[in-house]
Parts: sequence; structure tokens; C-alpha cells
Amino acid sequence: MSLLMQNFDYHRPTSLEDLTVLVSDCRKGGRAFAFSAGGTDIIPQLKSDTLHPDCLISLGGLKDLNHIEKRGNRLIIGSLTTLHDLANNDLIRGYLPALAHAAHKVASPQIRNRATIGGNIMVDNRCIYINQSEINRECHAPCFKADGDVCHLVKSAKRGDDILCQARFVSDTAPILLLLGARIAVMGANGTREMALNDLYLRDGIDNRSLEVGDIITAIEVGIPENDTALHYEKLTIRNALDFPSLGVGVRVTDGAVSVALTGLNTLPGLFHAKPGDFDNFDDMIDHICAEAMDFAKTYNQDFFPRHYRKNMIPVFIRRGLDKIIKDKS
Amino acid sequence: MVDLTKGYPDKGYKIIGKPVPLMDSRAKVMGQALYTDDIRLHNPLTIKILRSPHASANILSVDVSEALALKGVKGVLTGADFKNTFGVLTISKDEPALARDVVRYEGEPVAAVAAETAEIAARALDLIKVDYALTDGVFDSRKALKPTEHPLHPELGRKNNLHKKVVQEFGDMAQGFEAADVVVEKRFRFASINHAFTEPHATQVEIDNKGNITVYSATQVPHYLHMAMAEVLEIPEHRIRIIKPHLGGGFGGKSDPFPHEMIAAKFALDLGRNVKLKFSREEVFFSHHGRHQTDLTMKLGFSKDKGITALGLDTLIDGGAYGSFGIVTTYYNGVLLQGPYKVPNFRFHVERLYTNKPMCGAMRGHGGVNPRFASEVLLDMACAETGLDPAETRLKMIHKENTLTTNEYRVTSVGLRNGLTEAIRRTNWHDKHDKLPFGKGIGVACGFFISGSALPIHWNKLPASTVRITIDHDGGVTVFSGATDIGQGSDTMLAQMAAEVLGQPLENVKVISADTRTTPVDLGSYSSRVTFMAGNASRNAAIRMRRLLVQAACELMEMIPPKYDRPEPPEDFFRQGGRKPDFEKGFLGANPDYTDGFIFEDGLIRSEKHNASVTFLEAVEKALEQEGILQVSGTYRAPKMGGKFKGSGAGLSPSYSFTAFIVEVTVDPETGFIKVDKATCAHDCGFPLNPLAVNGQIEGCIHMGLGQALMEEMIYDNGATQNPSFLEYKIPSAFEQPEVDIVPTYSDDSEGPFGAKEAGEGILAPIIPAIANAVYDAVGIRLTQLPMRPDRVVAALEREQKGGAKA
Repeated sequence: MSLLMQNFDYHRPTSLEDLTVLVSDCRKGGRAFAFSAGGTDIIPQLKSDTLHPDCLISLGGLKDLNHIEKRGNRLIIGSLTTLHDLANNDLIRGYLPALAHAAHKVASPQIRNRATIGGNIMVDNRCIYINQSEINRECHAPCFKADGDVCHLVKSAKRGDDILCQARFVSDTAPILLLLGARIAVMGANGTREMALNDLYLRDGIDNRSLEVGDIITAIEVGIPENDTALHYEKLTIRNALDFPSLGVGVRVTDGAVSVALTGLNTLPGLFHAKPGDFDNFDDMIDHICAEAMDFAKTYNQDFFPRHYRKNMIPVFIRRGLDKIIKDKS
Repeated sequence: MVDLTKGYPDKGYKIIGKPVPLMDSRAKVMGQALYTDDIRLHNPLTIKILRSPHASANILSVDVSEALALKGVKGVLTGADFKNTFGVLTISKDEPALARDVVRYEGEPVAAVAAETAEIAARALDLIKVDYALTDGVFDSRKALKPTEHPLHPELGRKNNLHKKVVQEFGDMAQGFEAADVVVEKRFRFASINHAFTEPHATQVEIDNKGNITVYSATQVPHYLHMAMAEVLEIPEHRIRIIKPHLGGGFGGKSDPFPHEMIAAKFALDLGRNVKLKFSREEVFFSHHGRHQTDLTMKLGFSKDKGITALGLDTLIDGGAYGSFGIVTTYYNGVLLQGPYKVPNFRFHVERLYTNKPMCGAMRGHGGVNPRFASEVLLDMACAETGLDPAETRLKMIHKENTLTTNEYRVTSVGLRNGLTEAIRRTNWHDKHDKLPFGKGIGVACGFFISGSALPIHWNKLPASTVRITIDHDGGVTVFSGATDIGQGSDTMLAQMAAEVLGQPLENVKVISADTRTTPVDLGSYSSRVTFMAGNASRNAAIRMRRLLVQAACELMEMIPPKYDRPEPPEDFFRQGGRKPDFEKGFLGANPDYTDGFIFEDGLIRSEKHNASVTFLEAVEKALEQEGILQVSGTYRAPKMGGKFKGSGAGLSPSYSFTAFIVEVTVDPETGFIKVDKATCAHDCGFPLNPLAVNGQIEGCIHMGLGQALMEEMIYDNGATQNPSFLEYKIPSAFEQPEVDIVPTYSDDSEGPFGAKEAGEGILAPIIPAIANAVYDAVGIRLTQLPMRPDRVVAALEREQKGGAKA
């Protein structure tokens, strides 16, 4: 309730080598640690006491991870690139305007100046019952994510049931990155590895990323789409600034095939594809992909908008994205 | 630069009527203005408050021993340490500084710690053990009406949770509805909303070696806080000095005395140490005092020829756990419907209920905002059903000057007709209304508000406001006033009064305000009373000062000083029901004319008749010879007004403001999003003293109204505040603010200072129904629930498509 910053050790390594040593020291000492990139997601969690690391490791000193470059037909985005830089970078605006747009739709200028792309794809799942200060959490029985054994969204759920924490996925940049087939470079205790961004996300609202403790994302790599491809991101919020997406819809059209990526509707992002050959006509294809997307949505009343509205807006936003793409092309 | 004086008459004033930046705006923008929490007292203790995590519970025990034992903790207070409860209204002093035996809302203060550092205080809170026995709470005003053995406030002796019920009826309702061409009725529901001011509550207390305390607090009403604190702490008022530093917004949310102020003062007195305390945003939401959640059914009878024939309403307002201003709110939910149009037959029935939620109280447009929404929407429906133009109809129905309303309010100046006429012209209303394509709409609504409550909420015979003015030997003018500048610019307004009367540049006038030791009593900044009341007091004081200087100047110029007649107000202005108000002795008269045959300008006092002058400074020096100080006071008291029935004092004001909005919107029928494209405002604030400040208030009211209209709501889950943060409590961002067109609108109020009336609150109410009426024009749905969220728009459109099932 005090919203005072808790006590922890703070480190700001300036090289990946130093980082590795720090992480390994923490491990050996049995000290819980957490990473902070821009800090815009983790600092509020530390203040509201939903996270208690012994040690906070800032990644802000790793200047090598702040870059955007073109290698052949691929773009490499350092994970510490700020959302402001991403939204305003000439390469991104030129080759991936939908990604620049999605980055620009995050929060506010102040936050985009600090928040990073790595942080945005890693942003913790949110729920109105957990992302509260201590007193408000105390008012309800502790939920799964607070080490308790109830879920206030799925009232019948008990720990041990198959029903997992429903804290929802809220990254604005993930849908477009997923539609681009982004891959991420991960550095961990056993060196560096690569994986599809899509494999990063897990179904549980608590353990919602497939990384090992101590892993960090160093870069994101995306292919530059061919001319037959266009993308669009549309976000539902009551205000035109500040808010996490109540619903975010990314749409990709490649040579008649349509892909859709969703955020804000489930514990993880959704990704759906449809190609013209499988359907009688274009409308059938869109109906199908809308139905799939609506099936995927697991909305609860944990947002400004009621659940049915968010769900009903999915096809509206998909069709709007398509209209926008078609309009831009003509 | 836009000439903001354009459209208003030139009355030959030098300072009044000119766009003047507020005196403290530069300091605020530069970060130099000290707000309460910026003040640095010597070595203060930090106070933290332990709040109840339960909305409804009995406190079985509070064990503070471990907290007290923590190194650095200097004191712990619990409910047992405070004997007296308090409240802003003498008739509902129902709130304890710290909960005793029972907690009535989530976030209620239960214990408090004073410690050497904030960290120690926070740790100590964790060591306090409170044993609660949970009880069944009541979270809904309808349920609160039901009989119960355990009401929130058993001291009222009721068998349910009713706090206050008011029923008033005027005329003959049955006859009124009989005479109507059309009768429309709807149920409306309104969420509770928060003031969302920028500066969270904060208090610091300094104690001297004799045990006297100086309380620095973010408060709108130093005087009421002074009285409440003396009573709660059981010490005389002279041992307490209340100072309001710079204040970051109030909107009614800082107009009650608060528990944390009592706690801080008590710690300072008990421990002999300076103390400080500030709220987190979450604590602001727990303290709330915002607009009541309202469930209102209204019925309006309308005749094409006669206008409104009858208006009746039944309303439940959800007061939350304590009284606050609630009794006043209960009345205002009815009485403020007596304008801007004549309502010949009128009945209202309003009940305020206690529930286990943070309390509601006064908020900008106090009590009048929600019923205004209902009445303006119903009026729009009546116009639609009778085929009348809603703007022209309103124009015809606006009160005439110098009329008495059905409940015997004395309406004097009315300047809205010209403003609304111009707004209709500027917006091309007749080309747009009912003619725009589907999805585009235009709507109109009007409002009416008091310029200060004529009666004090603590009954006394003192003037409503007193201002003291001194002039130093070097000619510097200082205005002392208890009026509280909460960002609205009252200090600047007070200085303008004195500068105009004394012919001084504004920068020669300093204002010392809101300090109970050095400034005279003013009842505070609420009910839009400051410009009218403190403004008149400042003007009257300046006139007295001017007379002293003219006297001195005449002595120097060896002239016979002018003889002042006490000006009598013209009779018809004060007539009421055949009675003439009885003015108190010291009353200077309404807007007394201060023409005295002298001109104060360019540092000179010049006789108009004779070619003679002395410098202002010479006159000041001469005037100082006698007493050594040059000091006068001026007062304002409202004329005697009001009917002879119970509750006739509610909503009585020496004058009323009038507002009209024409709003243009775009509605997305698929997503239900309402975009307000443009708001055209005509607000009759009498004569605008400072058009820059008036325009600022209009823009602010539009923004705030937009919030209540489209997105703001306090969300509770069994009494738990679900959105106590600026992330989850949605205030419109700059993107949502529409284009604003302000139509210069004025009247010359015969009693307002230099003709002025209020401009801070009345503007807020009509923007909201104007949006709703524009939505109807755009897509043909009547929205009856605030906020008008997109999902509600979509749902209403679906109902409409299904054949207009009842909305």
C-alpha cells in the first residue's frame, strides 16, 4: 500500500560477459533476480509488490543490444531498441511500417522513450486482480498468480484443475512480429540459441514465457516482406493513448492468403492463417478466420470493455485491417 | 493572438475584462510553486496510514505493540485515540478519523504510524495486527433501502441504510401532465466518478514549543478544516493555524475535512514533532468523495406552446460509507432543475443511501450534473416527438430576467439567449440538425448553476466573505482573503478587483490567501461562490480604501472631499414574493458605484472637476499619518431570499449562471465509438472578469464532461475499488478533446462584482446531454447510462434494429 520502492541489490552490467558472471553469481548464491530493460513494466510491479527479487539487473548498459540493421533481406533489431526508436527508424518505417505503427501505439511518448522492443514482447501478462497494489489484492483472496488457490475470473477454478491463470497477454508489437515470422536470439547459461517468436509464448498466465531463468533476448530478426505482402495493426482502447490493448489485431495479406494475429484476448497471442485455395471465395475465407479468432478469444471481465464486446469486435477489427490494406494498395 | 475581449462590451475598465494570465501560472510552470508536499519542515516524521482491506467488517482487536517496538517508530494511533467524529456538515458528523470497532469501506483508515522515515513507517504498518470479523456489506443503493438489523450507521436509529430523503412538490403535477402535449419518461443510470485532480492529498504539520500547530494542507476550505480539527482534537482554534499552499486541483474533492488531516495534527500534538503525510493515487481513490452513483427515473410533460408543464423525478444516490456533503447533494439533485427554464409543476424525491463503498460528496456541478443529463435528454425527446426544433425551443424557454422560479429562486441576470442564438448561427445548426448523414450528429443542451450558496453550511451571521486590504508606505497593495485558490485563479481575481478600483497595475497588488492566522474568514472554495462573494468583498474593501485615499488627496489639494451616499439597490431586483430583503447594516450595496469625481491612473489621483492632482504615493503617505497603517475591510453578504417552506434554502444563490452547448459528433455504428468533433459553448458568467480564465474553465469543463460522458467510472467488486489508478480509471487524453468554439456570452449582473457570475461549474453539466442528443441525431439511439461506453452504443443500436425494444 505504501508504494515505496522495496529494497534490492541493483546492477547495471555494461557487457554480456559481465552479465553472465552476475547471473551465475546470483544462481550460486541462491538469490532471486529479475531483469529490467526500460523498466516501464517491472518498476510498477516492484512498487506494487507483485515481484520481490533480491537483485535487479538492469540491461540498460548493454549498448550492443541497441541497434537496427539490415542484413540482406532481413532486419535485425537489437532487443534494447526503444519503442520510440523503433517507431521512428527509417529502416523500420520503410520496410515494416505496420511494426512502426504498432510500436507507436504503445502507451505514451514518455514510456516509449524508455520501453524497449525486448521488454514489449516480454511484457508480463496482466489481470485486474493481480496488477493492483497490496491492499487491493488483500481485499480478495489470493489468486493463482499471488500463490493463492482461486481465480477471480474463473470463479469455479481451483488450483490443480486444468484451468490456468487467465492473466492476459498485452504486447502491442507481438502480433506484427508474429505475422512476420520473427525469430529471436536468446542468450542463456549455455550460450546463444535461436527460436521462433511464436515458441516464446505459453498458455499459462503466470509462467507465460518459455525462457529459462537467466535467459535474455538479445535480438529479433524478421524477413523483409516481398511486395505482395502488406500488414496492418489495429488496437482497441477507449483512449487514443496510454492504455494496454483491450484487443489488438494484426492482419497480413500475402498474395491473397490472409493471416491474423491477436493480442489482449487470451493468455498468449493467437495466430491464424488461411489461403484462398481452401475456400470457395474470399468472404468464406474471412468468415473462417474470424470464427477461428473468436473461438480463440478467452475474454473475461478484466478490462474496461466487457467480454462480449471485445469478442464481437474481433471480426470488425479483422475486416477493418483488411479494408485498410486493400485501400492502401489501390 | 486571438483577441479574447472581442464580443464583450467595452466598459472602460483597465484590468477587469482583460485576459490576464493567472498570477501563479509562471511559478507553477517553472516548478517553483510550492505545493503542500514540497514544503520542507525541520526534521519531520513521516506518517503512513493502515487501511482496511475489507469493505465491511467488525474490528475485534488492533495490536500495535510490535509496530511501536520497531526502532524509528515514534507513535501509533488507532480509533481509540479519537473521541469525536466529524463531517463537513454539522448535521452529519458521522466520520471517525480512524475506524473504531467497525470498518465501512475498503481503504478506510484503521491505524496510523509516525516514524523517522517512510520506509520504517511502511514496515511498521505490516506489524500492526488487526483482527477483523467480516460482515455482510451492502453495495447497491436499492439493496440499501431494504430493512436490516445492521445498518452502517445505527446511530441514526433507522432500520435501513437511508441517510437522507428529500421530497418537495410545487404546483399540481397531475394538472401539469394533463396540460402536456407529450409526456416522456425514462430511467437513467450514472456511474460514480472521481475528481481526478493532479495533486494527491497531502498534509504537513509544524509544532512550536508552546504546542501550537501550523497545518499545511491541500484543502479547499481552510475555515471548515479549522473548526473540524479544533473539535476533533479538542483544542481551541487559536492553537491551530491552517495554511493552504499552492493547490493542484480540487473540483470539490478537497472540500471536506479529512481523517488524514486529523491524524497528522494529532501526531504533531502528541509527539511534539513536525510531521508530514501524502497520499498515493490509490489512497485518493479510496478517499474518493466523488460524484454519487445515481439511479434516476424522470418524467417530463411538455406542451408545444407552453414549454415544460411538469417535471418529476425519483432518484437514489449511492452515498458510500459516510455523509460528507451528501445532504446538500440530495437537495441539489432536485432543486437545480429549476433553471434554465420555467418548471411550473415540479416534484422531486431523492434518497441518499449508505453503502460499503468509499464515500461520495461534492464534485464540480455538485448534484446537478446527473439530473441535468436526464432532463435535457427528455426535453430533446419531447422536441423530437412534437416535431419542434430542440435549439429554438430551448431558446424560447430560457428564464426571463428578474423572475422568480417555482421554488422561489430569484433569477436576476440572464445573458444566455444572445449566446445560444449566436451558437445556433455559428454552428449552422439549422443546416445540420436532423439533416446530417447517418453517423454524424449535432445536439444541444443547456444548464444552470448557482453563483455561490447564499446560506452557509454552518449557520452563522458573519458575512459570507470578508477581505482585508492594506497599502504599505511605498504604495504596495496587499489583499488578504480566506478564499482558496485551488487553481481556478481566485487570487488573480481578487487582485484584479483591487487593482481596478485603486487604479494600480496588477503587479502592484499582492494576495495573501487561505491562511487562518492572517486572513479573514471566507467559507472556502465550493459551490462556485468565490468570484461572486469574495470578489465582491475585495471590491468593497478596495472601494473603502479608495475613499480613504480620496480623502487624503483632497486634504493635500485643499479640496472638499466628496460626499458618499450609500447606494440603494433598485427595488425590483430584490423583490421576492412581495417581500423586500432586509439588508444588514454594513452592507455596501449591490455593485456600489465608486465614481467619486477622481481618476486613479498613472500613479496619480486626479480631480475630474479641477485641474489638480497628487501622486498616489503622496495620498498614501498622507493617509498613513493618522493611524500608521492603511487598512480596510470589505464584506459580502447575500441578500435575504427564499421561500417559507422547509428546505427552501437549498440552491438559493444571489445569482445564477446559464450555459448552452452545441456538440457535433461522429458515431461509428460498428464499434460504437463516439468521437466528439466540436463543442460550441455559450456560457453566461455575467461580465467575464478575465476571459482567459473563463475560457480555461470552459475548456476544462468540456474535458471533464467528456470523461463522465464517455469513459470515467469507479468500478467496484463487492466494495473493492477495482480501478484505483490513472491507468485503469480512464480520463480522456488530449486526443479526445474536441475542437472548442467559445461564443462570447455575457450579462451585467447587478450584484456580481463588476457584473460577474460563476464560470467554474455550471459549464460542466450540459456538455454531457449535448453529446447524448448529438448521438441521437447521428444514429437514432437514446443513451440513458453513463458513461456512454462503445459497448453500450452497440447494444442500443442492436436493440434499435430489433424493432426499438425499450432502451
